[in-house]
Order: sequence, then C-alpha cells, then structure tokens
Amino acid sequence: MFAVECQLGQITYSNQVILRDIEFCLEAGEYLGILGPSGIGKSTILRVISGFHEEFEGHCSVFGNDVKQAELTVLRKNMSFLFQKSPLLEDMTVFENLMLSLLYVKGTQKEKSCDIKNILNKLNLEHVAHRFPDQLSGGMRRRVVLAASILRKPKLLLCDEPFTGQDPITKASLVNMLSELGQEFGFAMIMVSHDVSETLSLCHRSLVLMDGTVKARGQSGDILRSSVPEVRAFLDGALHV
Amino acid sequence: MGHCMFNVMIVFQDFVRFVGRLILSLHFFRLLPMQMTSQLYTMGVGSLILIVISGLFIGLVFAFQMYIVLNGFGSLAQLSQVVAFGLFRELSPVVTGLLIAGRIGSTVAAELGQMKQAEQIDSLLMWGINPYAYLMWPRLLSLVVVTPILVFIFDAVSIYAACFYAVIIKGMESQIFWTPLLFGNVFFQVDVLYGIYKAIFFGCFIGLMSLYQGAFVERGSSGIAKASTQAVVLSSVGVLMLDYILSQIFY
Repeated sequence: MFAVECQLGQITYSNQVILRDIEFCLEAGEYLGILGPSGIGKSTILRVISGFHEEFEGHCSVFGNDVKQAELTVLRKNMSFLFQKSPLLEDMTVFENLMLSLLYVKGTQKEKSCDIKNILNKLNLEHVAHRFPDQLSGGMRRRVVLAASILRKPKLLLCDEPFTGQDPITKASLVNMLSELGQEFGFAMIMVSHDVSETLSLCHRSLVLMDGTVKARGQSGDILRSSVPEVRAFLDGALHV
Repeated sequence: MGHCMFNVMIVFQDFVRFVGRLILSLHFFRLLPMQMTSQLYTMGVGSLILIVISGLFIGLVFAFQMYIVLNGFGSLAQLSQVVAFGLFRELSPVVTGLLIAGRIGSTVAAELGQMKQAEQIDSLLMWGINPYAYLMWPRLLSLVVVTPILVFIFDAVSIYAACFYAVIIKGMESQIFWTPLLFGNVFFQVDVLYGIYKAIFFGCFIGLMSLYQGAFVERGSSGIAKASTQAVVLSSVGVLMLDYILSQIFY
C-alpha cells in the first residue's frame, strides 16, 4: 500500500483552477519534494492530502483512506503537518505546547513527559522547554514545531516550506535533522519548498510545478538535467540566488 | 439592495452553521482549569479598572441629573430609588455590556483571527483537538461568568458614587438616601437580579459574535482589523437590541 496516492485532475481555489494533472505516489519511508515558485499552489497539495482543502477533482488517498470519504480524525491519525508559520500557542511554554499535541494520544502523563524530554534532547532543545514561543529564535521555533510534529510518531510528515526565513546554517541543520529523524522513525515525507538545493539533497524524488502543472519529475539528477525551459529558468534562478 | 440582502443571508447562514458546530463540539469539551482560570483572569481582572471608573462616573452623573429633576418636584427622598432603578435595570448592564464588547469582544476576535492566520487552529486539528471545544467554549463560558460579576461590581460602585454625590456634595442625610433603598422598596433586589439576568445574555451574545468574527476572519492583517471592528460593532448593536427585548420580557 502506498503512503500517499494522488491523481488530481484539477485543484481550484476560490473558483479558479490553480493546479491540474498532479499525479504521484509515495511509498512508506520515502521523501518527496515539491518544488516551484511561490504562490503556485504547492501548499494547497499538502492541504488536499491533509483534508483541509476540498475543492479538487480526482482521487487522493493516504494509507488507503480516501481523503474525501474518510473521517478526518482517522485520516490525520498517522499524519503530522509541519506548518509554514509557527503554530505554537503563545500563552503556553514549549513543554506545554508539546504536551498539548499529545492530548488525545494514549499514554500516561509520565510517559508523555518522557517522550517530550527525549525529543527535545534529540533536537538540542532541552534548555528551552520552559520558555514561551516568543522567547525563541526563528530557528529554535522551527525545531520546536518539528519536535511537535515528530512527537506523535507519524507515518507521514507533511512539511510546508520548512526552510523559509532560516539562515544557511540552520537550513543545513534542519536538513540533517529531517534526514536522521526519518531514518530513525521511518516516516514518509512530502516537502513543499522553493529551496532547491536543500530539497534535492534531502528528498529521494521531486516534482517541479510550473504554470499550474508538473513540468519535471524524478530523482535529483533528473531534475537538475531537465531541459524544459521554464524548469531550467527556475532552477538556474534558484540555485544562483 | 437585493445584493445586500443576499450578503446578509449568507452571513446569517454562516453564523447559524458556526453556532451549530459550537453546540456539537460540546461533546469534545473538557474543562481545563488552567485555561479557564487564565481566561477568567484576563477578562475579569483585566476589565476591573475600566468597570470601576465607568461605574463611578455614571453613578455621579446620574445622581446629579436626577437630583436636579427631583429637587424641582420636592421629591428628593426618592433619589436613591430612582437612581437605583435606572442604574440596576438599564444603565449598569448596558454600559458594562458595551464596555465588554469594546474591550473583550475585540480582543477575542483578534486573538482567534490571529490564531487562524498563524495556522494554530489547523495545527490543533492535526493534533486531533477540536478548536471549538478547546478555544471557543472556555472563552464563551468565561464571558458568561464574568459579565454578570462585572455588572454587579458596576452596580455597587455606581450606587456608592451616587450616594457620595447626594450625601457628601449635596449634603443630603445619609439615612434619607439609604433607608428607602434598603427597607422601603421590595423591588430593589429584583432590579439587581434583572440587571444580572440581562448580563448573562449580553455575555453570551458578545461571546458568540466575537468568536464568530474571529473564526471567519479574512486573510491578511486587514482581515484581523476588520474582524475585531465587526465584533465590537455587532456586539454593541446586539447588546442594545437585546436590552430592549429583555426589558420587554422582564417587566
């Protein structure tokens, strides 16, 4: 069974077609990158998969559960979403935010507390456990959000622009963390980004979206060798910035 | 005109759907004491100074106006009863309602709108947490609890302010002010209770309006500004309309 199977005819947003003919499959443990310029609708694909966006034609399933028919709690049970913005509640400490993410996860408070400490240690965040989100730097916030996503031990991780606004060192550290965590927990990941080099180095396969559809797909080498003019222009522009 | 009516119908439909979802989410509601305490503190204690200052000056002004009118008829002995009747039944709940709509209604709408835009609500959904149960019910319940308490405080401050005007400034006998109020009128307690009943409805209405505006916020920072303004405007107008309806029912 595929982790994600998408055959989307059209995706509309406010009655306008933004994407068409998006087809891909993702196997368990595999990383898929979705590249493309800002505003093209990359994040909308993640929102379709997670059941937030319903305006689409075609079929999409996650671990065999049809996105349109499955109950959302069942659909999202094995899924985590690393949102582009910081979804941490500002009136709670990092530890309380992480505890909240486990509110409906089975286990005692002690077990949950232990899991939180472990994940914070793994991401070098143990010293910020009792800080409030507004006392964290951008990179730390990102790592805390990543910790909240991983804590529920998902089988599928959806990452929306995880590197946006991060400096090169933080970007490199996030790439390493995502790679190591993936190996340790064995989750599949779909990552939407316009950071070409990070995405290609982390993901097993990638898609490049241009003009509302897939213009190139394959492994890093295939993408970098693409001869499609729009893709070339995007890659050259992105890699030389 | 037709287009405007259509828009009103759409908004009304959204509001009914919102209230329906809110009621259905009661199934998931778990009272988290920390969260309730925090909301009660922010809404109640945070509004206290505003309520005390407003109560003080409304009491003074009302006593001043009534003193002039009643003095003309030689009925100063009725001053405390007239002031209490007007304050407890009408001015106190309505002014408190309007102040709460301005202070708490706008905050609730802006806070929820910001949370929606920052994907915090989506994040809760991904964690399996119902945002209506987790974010909205505690705020609504806090408003329903806090509004009558604030009205009661407003009542107390304003009647003491009226007493201050009559006794200290105008030299009226303290007994003449308090006796008819405490012993001469059996409706005094009823007046206070009517005001508090009204406050419960006002709190509920302000809460629903503000939460609805926050939940349906439009994109961008202008969306948050619009939501908080709408929350204040609709809550304030609603408080005045509800006041008329409830006054008709209670008399």
